[in-house]
Amino acid sequence: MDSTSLTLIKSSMPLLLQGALMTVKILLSASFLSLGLGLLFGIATCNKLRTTLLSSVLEGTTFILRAVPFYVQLLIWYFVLPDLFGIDLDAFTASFVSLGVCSSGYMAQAVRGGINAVENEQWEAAKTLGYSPYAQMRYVILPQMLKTCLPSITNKLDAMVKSTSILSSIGLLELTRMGMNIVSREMQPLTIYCTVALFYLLISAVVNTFSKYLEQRLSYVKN
Amino acid sequence: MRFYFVFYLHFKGEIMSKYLFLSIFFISGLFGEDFVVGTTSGYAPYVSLDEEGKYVGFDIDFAEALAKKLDRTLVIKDLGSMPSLFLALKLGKIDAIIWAISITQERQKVVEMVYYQGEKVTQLPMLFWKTIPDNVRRPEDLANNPKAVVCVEAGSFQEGVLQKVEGLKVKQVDKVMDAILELKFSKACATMIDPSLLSRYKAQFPELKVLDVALAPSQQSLGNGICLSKDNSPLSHDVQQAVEALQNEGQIRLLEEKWGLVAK
Repeated sequence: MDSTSLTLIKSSMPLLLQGALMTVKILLSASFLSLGLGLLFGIATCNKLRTTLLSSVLEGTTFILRAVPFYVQLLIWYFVLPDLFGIDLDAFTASFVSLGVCSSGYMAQAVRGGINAVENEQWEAAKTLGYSPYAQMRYVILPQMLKTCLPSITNKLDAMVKSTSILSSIGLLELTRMGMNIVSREMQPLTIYCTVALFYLLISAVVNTFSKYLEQRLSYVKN
Repeated sequence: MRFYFVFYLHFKGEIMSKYLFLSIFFISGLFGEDFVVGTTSGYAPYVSLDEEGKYVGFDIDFAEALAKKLDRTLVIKDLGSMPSLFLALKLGKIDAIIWAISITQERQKVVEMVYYQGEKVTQLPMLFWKTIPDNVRRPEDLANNPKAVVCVEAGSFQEGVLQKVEGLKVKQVDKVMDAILELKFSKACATMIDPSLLSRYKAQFPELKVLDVALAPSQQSLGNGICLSKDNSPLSHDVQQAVEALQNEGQIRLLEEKWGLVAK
């Protein structure tokens, strides 16, 4: 790497950091939404708790969320829904809602699989001890579910990190869009896009390290 | 305590709403109505971000001058791509598109276009990397050749020209820079760009070779225009008058010189 490239990286750093911050903000907001919805959908569709009507509706919803590409969902949230309902979503809101809702379809599958993997005896033992349905879920089932499905949740979070770059298509000034702006001004695509890639690697590394930490914390749960 | 607070708000509500209405009315009068302009950053020297992350460029300066003339407050909406811009205009999310958009007959059928900058385009530069093949003198010469891919910015005027060439394999990319990279790494054999960007890209990439392609009269562009909704004739009229005033005052020329679009 020559000194010109280093100077360019240095001068571009404020904009790239701004973009990275926006990417992290979107990722955090979308992750909370996705985990929340995924947990609700996953619990409502697991084998033990399923009800004919509600579970079928939710399964249909998660199927749609998984089948329609994220880019199309983003365009629907940003352009179509405001037109239908008269609500004007700004780029940030449309971005995190579309990303969170789209990913919740996959999260729900991971949670459902994790709950179904908890052995029948665990449910029966919790019931025998007189736990309420909420307490059964909160103290017995979910901790075991989390340990089982944590790797797939981490995979989904990784995919979400990468999906944030699609948000540049509606003009959100996230990491990729900032990179594009610098490239159009400085005309040095290779240096800038490689730096952008390093930022994504860094964000993914943080997500994975946090996941490993959680796995260690949950290692007290014996299957 | 909470009850008293709600009770207080209930009685104060009517008076407060009047004050609120008056305040909004006063502030609106003070700053004028918003003029929401859709554009897309990453298109220097027309629209890009500076080191501090502020929108800069010829189109931004022009939009500011135009909003001032219209006595309205400028609001910039970065919509990311040409298709998003036209969709947003159609849905009424923005009042106008200012993004160096060429005025063509086809676009004029869909949106109202007001000329503001640039020369009439009668030919377009077709770019190749290092060499122009001997047998290529126009885009038609690349048609019906499965290996000859011509890439172009999606939704651009140039794309419209290339799409009309029968049998030509056209690949859409998001940005002009992406098209240049396609050439550099042999993903495509040629691209077509806006003439106003040519000197900038030629200076940065001396390997680019230029083939000028003459356009049929029906394909020629009348320069860059502001896109407005056909349903909003009063705004189109006001914009037309404001642009004429800016041209007569020489402000547009000054901005063109500032951003290197014409020689000083």
